[in-house]
Amino acid sequence: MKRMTAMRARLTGLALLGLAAIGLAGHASAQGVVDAARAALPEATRQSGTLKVATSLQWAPFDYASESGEPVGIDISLMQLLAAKLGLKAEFEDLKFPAIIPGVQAGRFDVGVNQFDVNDERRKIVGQLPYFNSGYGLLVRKGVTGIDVNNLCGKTLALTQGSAQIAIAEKLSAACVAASKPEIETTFYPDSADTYLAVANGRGDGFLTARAVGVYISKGNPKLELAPGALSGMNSISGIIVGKSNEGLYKALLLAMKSAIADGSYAAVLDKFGVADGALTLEQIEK
Amino acid sequence: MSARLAMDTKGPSAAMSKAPEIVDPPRFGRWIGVVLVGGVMAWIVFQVLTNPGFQWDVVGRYLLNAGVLKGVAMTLQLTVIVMIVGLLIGIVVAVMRMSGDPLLIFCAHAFVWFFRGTPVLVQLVFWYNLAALFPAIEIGIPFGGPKFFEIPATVAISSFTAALLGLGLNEGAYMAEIIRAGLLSVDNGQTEASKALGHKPWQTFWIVVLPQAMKAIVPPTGNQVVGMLKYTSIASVVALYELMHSVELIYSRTFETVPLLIVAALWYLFLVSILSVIQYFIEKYYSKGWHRQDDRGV
Repeated sequence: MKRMTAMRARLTGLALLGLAAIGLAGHASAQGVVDAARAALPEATRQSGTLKVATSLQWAPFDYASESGEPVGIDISLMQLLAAKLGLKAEFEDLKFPAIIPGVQAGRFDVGVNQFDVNDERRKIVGQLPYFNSGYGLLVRKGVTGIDVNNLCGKTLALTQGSAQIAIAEKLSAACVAASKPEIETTFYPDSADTYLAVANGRGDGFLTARAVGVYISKGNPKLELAPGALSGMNSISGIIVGKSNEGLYKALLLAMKSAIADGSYAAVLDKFGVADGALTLEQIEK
Repeated sequence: MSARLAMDTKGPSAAMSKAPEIVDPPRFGRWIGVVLVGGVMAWIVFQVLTNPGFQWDVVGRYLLNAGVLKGVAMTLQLTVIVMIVGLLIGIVVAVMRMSGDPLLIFCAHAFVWFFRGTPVLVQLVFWYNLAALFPAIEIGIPFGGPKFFEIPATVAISSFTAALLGLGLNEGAYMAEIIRAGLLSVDNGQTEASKALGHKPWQTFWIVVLPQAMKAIVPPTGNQVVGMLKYTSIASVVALYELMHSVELIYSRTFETVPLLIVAALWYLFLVSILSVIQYFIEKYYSKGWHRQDDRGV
């Protein structure tokens, strides 16, 4: 049964491509379009010509608004790349984080991106296509050397109140104490901007952050840089959210991703944002 | 105005003019108060202006930013439309509740109970994603009758429509209670007098009861408008680009959180000030005939 529908989809895809070749469908050129991936798309999505993406533009450098108000970021560039490979145009809608997944579930959007962690709770309700591995690193004042990210015992970390990094720092500190080393000192600041400012001014030894964010901050702040290396055993895989029952789209995105890895355009997108070390291998994505 | 002239105009009371002139006792307490309050205000202003944490240069740079202005326009637009919708729904529901008809009373009760009792955020996300429950909006005979026409819900419910429904219905429930209280504040004798004049029921309501009820309705409604102005920011959850969202987008990129929140605060203050002036004039209009001319405080 499934094979039948896939077969029919493929035939329709071929038919459409034929039309495109004659120039009746609105495709100027099928350049860069991965035929197999496009064929796997659900009929309605292919017909519409757009890939509707739900995001929240408050998460630099993954999803944010440029000065002119255009959506930009790692997730945005990647979705534009994948959409192009499917012969679609990515259309972004800027929601708030909690509304993204319900919007995809309702079918209002094809996919959702906002550096969503891939986890088992989400697996129950939506499909997740892994695309990025975010490690944790340490932002330090420019020119400071000799800090080992995986040995912070006795150092002082600047933290933002209420952030996820507090729990990480506590865990690391507990490990230090267990190994009878001095514990990690912490100082707290009300918001991220204050924390960066403090570290830039030489208060505390560093600021724990997702490496991608660290790269973005150090670009905008000439006094900060990202210390080499990542926290060991502290990875989080991010995934593209797809509707649970939308297997066709999932497969199409996977094939598009495959092609993007093969031709280097996936690596190029990550490299553009200085986060090439977060690239996933095909095996990790297909898991 | 000389004392002599005043005496001349007094006429019969001229004989009393030997009485000493009445002078208010000096209010030392008030003067001390003025000095204290002035000092505190000056200190606050000084702090605000000289504290580098406020980053006034950044505030100045973004106060008239095109994106922020777009947000201001949307906030104003949504506030006005939501309040009009809320007011209309509120009048209907309040009249239903006071109609004495058991069915109407039940429906009005149920409406107020539901829309006051559920979080607006839930309502917004629900309206916005109506397609999850009803893939298409159909006009036709329910329970399997023929369909006249249908539109996909995702097309029908835009961000603005979802915000309007979520906020408007909620506001309608609150306004219904405010209007009901206002109508109850009008003495029953007014209704009876109106009937005695031969007014029809709708005339009694529009010509006699509602204008008098307005005196009690306007102040809390003004309060609701001010609240709604800021509450519209919740609509950004369904991709509506309003004032709060416009500054959030900027500080998410630049991390200049505090100055951009000040930009939003200044705009809200400015808009609320304008609304307060409008409210003052509306109140003045509806309290005509309630104050003696010489009753004004000095």
